[in-house]
Amino acid sequence: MLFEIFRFELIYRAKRADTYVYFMALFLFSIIAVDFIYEGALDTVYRNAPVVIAKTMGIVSALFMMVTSMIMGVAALRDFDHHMESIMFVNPINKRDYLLGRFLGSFVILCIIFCALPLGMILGDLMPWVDPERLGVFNISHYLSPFIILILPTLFFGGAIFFVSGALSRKLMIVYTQGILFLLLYLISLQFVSNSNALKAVSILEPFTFQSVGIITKYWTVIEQNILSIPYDGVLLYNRLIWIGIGGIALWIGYIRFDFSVIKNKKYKKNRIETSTPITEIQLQKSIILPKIEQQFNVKSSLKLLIKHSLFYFKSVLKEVPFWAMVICSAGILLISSIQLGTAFGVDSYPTTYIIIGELIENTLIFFFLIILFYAADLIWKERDQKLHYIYDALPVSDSIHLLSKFIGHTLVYIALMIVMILSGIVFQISRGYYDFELDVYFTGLFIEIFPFFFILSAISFFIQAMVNHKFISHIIIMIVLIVVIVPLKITGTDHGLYTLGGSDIGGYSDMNGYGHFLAPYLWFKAYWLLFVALLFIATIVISSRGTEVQFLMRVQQAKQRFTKSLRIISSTILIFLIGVGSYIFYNTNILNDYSYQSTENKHRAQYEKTLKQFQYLPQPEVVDIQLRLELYPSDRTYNVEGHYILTNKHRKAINEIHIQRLPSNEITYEYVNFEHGATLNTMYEEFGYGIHLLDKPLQPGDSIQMNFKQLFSTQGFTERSGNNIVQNGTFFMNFSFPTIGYNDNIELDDTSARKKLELERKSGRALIDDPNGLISGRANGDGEDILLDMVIGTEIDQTAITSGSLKKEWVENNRRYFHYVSDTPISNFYAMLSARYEVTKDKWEPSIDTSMSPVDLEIYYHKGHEYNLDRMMHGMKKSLDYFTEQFSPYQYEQMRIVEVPNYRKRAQSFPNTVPFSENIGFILDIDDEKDVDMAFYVTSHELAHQWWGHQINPADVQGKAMISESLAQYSSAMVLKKEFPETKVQQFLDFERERYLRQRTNSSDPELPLSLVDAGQDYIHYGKGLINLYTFQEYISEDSVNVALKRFIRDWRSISGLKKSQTDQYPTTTDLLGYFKVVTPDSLQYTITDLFESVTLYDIRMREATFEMEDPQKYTLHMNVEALKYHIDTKGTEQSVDIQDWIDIGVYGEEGTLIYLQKHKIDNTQTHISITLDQKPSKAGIDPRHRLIERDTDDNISEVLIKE
Amino acid sequence: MDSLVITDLSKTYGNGVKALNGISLKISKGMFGLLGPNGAGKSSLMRTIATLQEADQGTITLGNINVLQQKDEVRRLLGYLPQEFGLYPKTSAEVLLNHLAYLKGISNRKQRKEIVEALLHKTNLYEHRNKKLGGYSGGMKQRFGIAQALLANPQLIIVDEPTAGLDPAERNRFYNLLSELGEDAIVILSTHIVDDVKELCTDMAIINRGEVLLKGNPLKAIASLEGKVYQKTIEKQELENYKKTYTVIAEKFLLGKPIIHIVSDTDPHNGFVPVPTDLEDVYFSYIFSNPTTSKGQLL
Repeated sequence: MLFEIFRFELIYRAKRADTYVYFMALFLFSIIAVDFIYEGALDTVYRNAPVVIAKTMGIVSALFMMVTSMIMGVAALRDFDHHMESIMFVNPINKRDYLLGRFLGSFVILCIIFCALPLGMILGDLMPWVDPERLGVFNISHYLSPFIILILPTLFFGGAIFFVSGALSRKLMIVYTQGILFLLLYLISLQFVSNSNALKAVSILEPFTFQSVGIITKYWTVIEQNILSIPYDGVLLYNRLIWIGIGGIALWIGYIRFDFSVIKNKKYKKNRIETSTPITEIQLQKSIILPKIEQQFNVKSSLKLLIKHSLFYFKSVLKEVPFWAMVICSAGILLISSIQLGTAFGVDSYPTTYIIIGELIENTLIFFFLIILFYAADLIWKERDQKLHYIYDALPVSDSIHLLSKFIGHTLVYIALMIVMILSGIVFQISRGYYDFELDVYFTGLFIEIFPFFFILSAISFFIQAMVNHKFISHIIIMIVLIVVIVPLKITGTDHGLYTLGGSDIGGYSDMNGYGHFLAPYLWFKAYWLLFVALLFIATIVISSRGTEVQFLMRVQQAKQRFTKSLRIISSTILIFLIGVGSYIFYNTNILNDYSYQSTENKHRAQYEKTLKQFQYLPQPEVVDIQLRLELYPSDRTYNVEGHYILTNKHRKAINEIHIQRLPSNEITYEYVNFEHGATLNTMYEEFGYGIHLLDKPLQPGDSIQMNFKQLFSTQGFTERSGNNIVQNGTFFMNFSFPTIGYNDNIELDDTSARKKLELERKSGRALIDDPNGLISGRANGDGEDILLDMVIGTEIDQTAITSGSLKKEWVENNRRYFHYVSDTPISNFYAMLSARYEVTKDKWEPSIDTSMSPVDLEIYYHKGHEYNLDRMMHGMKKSLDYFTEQFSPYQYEQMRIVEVPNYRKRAQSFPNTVPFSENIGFILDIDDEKDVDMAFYVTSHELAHQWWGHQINPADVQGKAMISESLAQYSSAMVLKKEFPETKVQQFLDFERERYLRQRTNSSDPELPLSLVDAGQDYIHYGKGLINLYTFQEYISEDSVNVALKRFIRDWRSISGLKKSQTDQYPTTTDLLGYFKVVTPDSLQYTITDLFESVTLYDIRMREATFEMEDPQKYTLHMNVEALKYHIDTKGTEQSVDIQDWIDIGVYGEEGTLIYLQKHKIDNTQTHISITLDQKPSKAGIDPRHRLIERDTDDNISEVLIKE
Repeated sequence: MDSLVITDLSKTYGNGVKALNGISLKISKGMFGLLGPNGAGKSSLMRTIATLQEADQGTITLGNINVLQQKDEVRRLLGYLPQEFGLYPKTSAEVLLNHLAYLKGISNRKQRKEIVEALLHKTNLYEHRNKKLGGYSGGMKQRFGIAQALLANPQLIIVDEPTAGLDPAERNRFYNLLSELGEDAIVILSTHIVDDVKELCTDMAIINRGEVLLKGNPLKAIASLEGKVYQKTIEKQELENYKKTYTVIAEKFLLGKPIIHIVSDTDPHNGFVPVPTDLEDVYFSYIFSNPTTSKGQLL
C-alpha cells in the first residue's frame, strides 16, 4: 500500500505542469545565481571555487524555500483542498502508509526539482558572459558534495516541517506563506546574532549552512578559497545532523497528530451560527418594502468610491497576521543590539534622523519586498481566492477603479509600515536622549528616497500578476524579472537611469549639504519611471482577468474593448509626458553633458595609457611656486581659477617640452594655458586633455619658468552621476583638479579583468622598492614637494573658504567673502580647497617643553549642530602635538585646522596644516567613554601624525610607502592613545585592527607581501597589521627605542632639509626606516624585525594545560604546557612552517581577573613546559594573552588553571 | 423595461466544448425559467448575460444596450447571484453588503443604510448582520447572495440555481421574494428543478447541449403533451425492451419496481395507463427524445 501511494504521488506530480515550472525556475535562477548573489564582488575568488558553490547553494535553497513549501505542503493537504477527503479516508489505508507514501513521493520530486540547482550552476559557469579566467578547474565533486551534504538535509527538514504543517493545518494559505515566513524568521534571528560573538553557535544552528560555511572559512585567503574543499566534518556535520533530527521530529509529530477524520470537530462547532429565526417572521418579511435608492455614476462618486474601495483593501491587509508581524519587527528592529548606527571603528554615531532612516530601511527592506510580492498578489487575487469574483466582476465598477483601488490599498500598506518606522525611529531617538527629530528628513528619507522605487516595483508586480494570471507562477516570474532586470545591467555596466529600472538612487544625504544638487535629477528620473509604470498600469487594467475569461488570447481580445476611449486619452497623454521627460533627461545627461558607459570609459582610460604611458618618466620641471585666485560659486556649482605656477628644472639636462595634463572632464574648460617666454602647443591630445608645449627657449637646469592658466568649471543641467566635489554647502576638492605636470597614472584603469579585456597587463601596484624612477617620486608624482602657495579664494558671503597656509587677510567685496592664504613654510604640491557655511571654534597649543617653538593656532570648522566632539578633537590635537613634538621633531606650521566635510567621503585626510574630516566619522560619533574607544580623539591624532609622516617625511612612491605614511601614523596616534587612556581602550582598538587585518587579507588574490613592502590600497596591511606589529615591536624593544629611531629617521630624511634628504633626489623607503629600527634593537630581538616587518608571519599558539600547586598561601607553583607554531607565508602565498625561537608573553590572571604576572618567555619548541612561582593564587593562565602575535584562532590562548592532582 | 433579446449566441470553450450553440431567446419582464440538466449551458448563458463571459458570435441586447459591448451599462442594471460563490470570511454581513452597495453606485450613505437594512431583514439575516461571514451556513450564505443581488433595485436579475442549499421554508420565502421582483424586472432563473419553474415562471426555455429545445409558457408546454403521456409499472429486466419499443421519457421507482412514462400520440395499451401531464414530462420528453426532431419547436 505504501508503495502504491508513493507511486501514485510520483505519477501525479510528473503529470503536473507546476513541477516543471519549479524545475525550470530553479534551473534558470541557478545559472545566474552566483552573479546575483555576489554581484561581481568575486573579484579574484573563482566563480566555481568550492566555497562559492557551497554558499550559493545554501542561499538559493533558502530563497527557494517557498518552492519546498509548495511541493511538500500540498502533499497531504491536497485531499482537503479538493474536498477529496471523504472519499479518500474511508478507504482502508493506514495512516502510516498514507503519510509516509505522500511524504516520500513528494520528497523524491522535490529532490529531483532541486537537481536543477547543481545543473544550473554548472551550466552557469559555461555562459558566454563568464570570463574563463575566473574559473578554476572543473570538479564535479565541488557541486555534488555540498548538494548532497548540505542541500539534501535542508530539503529534508524543510520538507518535513512544511509537509506536517500543511497536513495539520489543512490550509492552503499556510502552504503559500510558510516558506516565506520561515525565511523571514531566519533573517530576523540572523539580525539578532550578526556581529555578536555567538558565531560558533550560529554555525552549528544555522539551517541553510551558508553562514556556517562563511564562519568556517572566515579567515581563508583567496588562494585557500580557490583550492580548498570545505571541511564537511566537525561543525557542518553536527549542523546537518541536528537539522535532520529536527525534520524527523517534525514528521513524528505529524504522524501522531494527523487525524484521519474528515471534519475538524472543534473548529466546526465554534464558528457555526445557529439559524434561529422563528417561522412567524417569514410572514413579516413580505411586508418589507425595499426602499428606493439612487445609483450615482459620476466623477465625484467615482472618486469617493476609489477612496472607499482603496481603504477597504487596505483594511483587509490590516487583518493579516503576517502584516502585523512585519510591523512589530520593523518597530523593534532598532532595539536589536547589533544595530549599526553609522558605526565607525566600532563606535556608534548619534542617532541622527538620516542614520536612523538608513538603518531602518536596510533592516526592513525584506519586508517591503515581501509586501510587494505577496500583498500585491493577495489583493489582485482577493475576490478570486474567495470565489467572490463572479459577484464582484458583475458590479458596475470600472476596471480602472477596481484595479486602481487595489493598487492604492496596496501602497497604503507600506505607507503604513513607513509611518510605523518613523514613529519607532522617534521613540528610539527619545530613548537615546536625542531630540532633534528632523521630521522633514524622515519624510524625504522615506517618501522621496525609497517610496518611488517600491511604487515602481509594485506596479511591475501588479502587471505580472495580471499578465500571467497565475498567482504562484507570477511570484516566481516577478523574482526572476527583478533579477534579470537588475543583474545583467549591473554586470555589463550599462546603467543609464533611462533604462535601468527605476533609475539610480539619490546618491546620499549629508547633514551639511542635504540632498544638494542630487535631488533635481533624481526627481526627473523618478518622474520618468513613474510615468512609465503608469502606462504599465493601464496595460494591467486592460489585460487583467474579469469574469470567467482567463485565457491569455481571450483577454487580449477583450483588451481592445476594455481599452476605452478615456483610457486611450489618458495613456496617450502619459506617453507624451513620458517621451517629454525622457527627452529632457536625455538632453541633460547626454547632450548637455557627456555620458559614457562604463565600458566606453574603460576604453578611454586604456587608450590614455596606451598612448601616453611613454611619457611617464620624461624629465619635467617641478612646481615650486603657486599663485592662484579662485572664485567659487557654490550655489551654481561653478568656479573659475586663474593664476600661475613657477616651474623649475631640477634635472641635469635642459627641457624642451612641458607636458600639461588638464583634468579630463567636460565640465572643465580652459581659457588659456601659456608660458612666460612663449611656447607652442605642439601636440594636443584633446580627448585626454593632454597637451605638449614646445618651449621657445629650452629650460636650462636650475632655471624657472612661469606657467599661466585660467580654468573654468561649470555645470550644465544635470548628469547621470553627479560629482560631489563642488557642492552647495561643503565644497572640497584638491589641487589635482588643476593642471598637473606630465603623465598621470591615476587615470589608468585599475581593475585587472577590465584591463585584460582591453589587452593591458595587470597593473602592478607600486614600483618595486628599489625602482630608480620610483625612488625619485614623492607625493604628487614628483611635480613639487617644496612649494610656496599663495591663494585668494572668493566664495559666497555666508561661507568660509579654507586652504593650506596661514590666513593673511579676509575681506568682503561685491557681496562675496575673500580669503587670502599664504604658506609660511614650503609645503608639498598637495592641498585642498574647502568652502561651506562653517562655525568655528579656536584654541591655542603652547609648547610645554621647548620654548623655542612658537604656539600653534588650533581651529575646528564645523557644521552647526555638530558640536558633540569638538572638545575631544581639540584635546586630541593638543595631546598629539605634545607627544609628537617631544618624541619626533617640532611641528612645521603655525596653525592646525580640522574642517568638516560632507559624508560623500568617509574618511579624514591630512593636508599641510589642514585636515578635511568627514562629518560621519568623528563629528557625530556618540562616544560612550565606558565602552567605546574615543575615536574622535584617535582619528584626530592619526591625521595630526601625518603632518610628520607624510608632510615632514615624504616617502618614495614605491612598495612600503604606506608603512611610512600610514603605519607610522597609526603607531604614533596609538602611543598618544596609550598615554591618555587606560590600557583596555588600547587593547580594544588593537583587537579591532587585528580583526580588520585577518578578515580583509582573505579578499586579496595575490600572495601577501610583508609590511615593509606593502602595496597601494592595502588598508588592512598598512592600517591593521601595521598598527599591531609596530605596537608589538615597541613592547619588545621599548617605546623610547622606537621613538629614538623615528627621531633619527626624521632628522635624516625630513623633506628638503634632512641631513640625507638634502644630499639626494631620492625619497626615503622602508629599507631606510628599518635601518634605524635595527640600530636600536638588541641582537636577541633582531629576529622580530624580520618577523614583523620583512616577512608575513602567522602564529598558532595555545595553552594546552595549566595546573598549580599551593606550597603555602603565599607561594604557588604554576605548571603550563604551551604549544606554539610559527609560519611564514612564502612568495607563492603558501604557509611554510618555521622553527620557533621567539620571546612570547606568558600572562597569569589572579582571582579578580587582573594580570598578576606578565613576562616574555623564550619559546624554542613546539611543545614547551613552563613552571613559574607566584605569590597569589592563579585562576587563568595564558600564552600571548593580549594577542600581540598575529594568529587566526585566538580563543585557545588562555585556559583555566586547575589544581594539580 | 425593455426585453432582453438574445440572437444566435454561440460559445466554444478552449477545450472544444460547445457551451452555447446558436441560442436565440427573447425574454421580457417577469420570471423566466431556464431549465436544463447539468452541463446544458445554463450557467454559460447566464454568465454571458451577466457580462462575465464573452461570446464567439451572436448578440445580446437589452433595449438599446448592447450587452456584449456596453458591459458597464448592463452592470448598473444587473443583480446577479452566481451558482457558486464565496464570501470574505473575516468580514461581517453588514459591512460587506454595505461595501457592495457602495460599489453598485449607491453613494448616498442614508439610502445605503436603508437598503442594506431592508435586505438584511428581507433575507432574514438581520440578526446575524454583525457576525463573520466565515461562520455562515450554506443557507445563510445563499441568502446573503440573494441580498446582494437585489441591492440596487436591479432591472435585470439573474439567479443561477438559487435554491441550492436552502431548506424548503427558505426556498418558499425566496420564491416569494423573486416573484415580487418579477413584477417590474426581468428575472432569469436557472434550475434543474422542474417544479420551481412551474410554480413561478410565466415563460421558460429548456436547453440542452447549448441549444434551446423548447421555449414558451410552461402551461402551454404542458398542454401540448396533454393526453399523450402514459405510465406503467414494469419489472427491472424488461426496461431495455421497453426503451427500444417506446419513447420512454422517465423512469422512477416505486417500492423497488420501475415505473416508466412514455409519450405516445395514441393509446399504446399493453398495460399502460394515461396520466395527467406534468411539466417534468415535458422536460424529459425534450431532454431524452431525439434532438433533431425536437429542435426549434416553439409553442
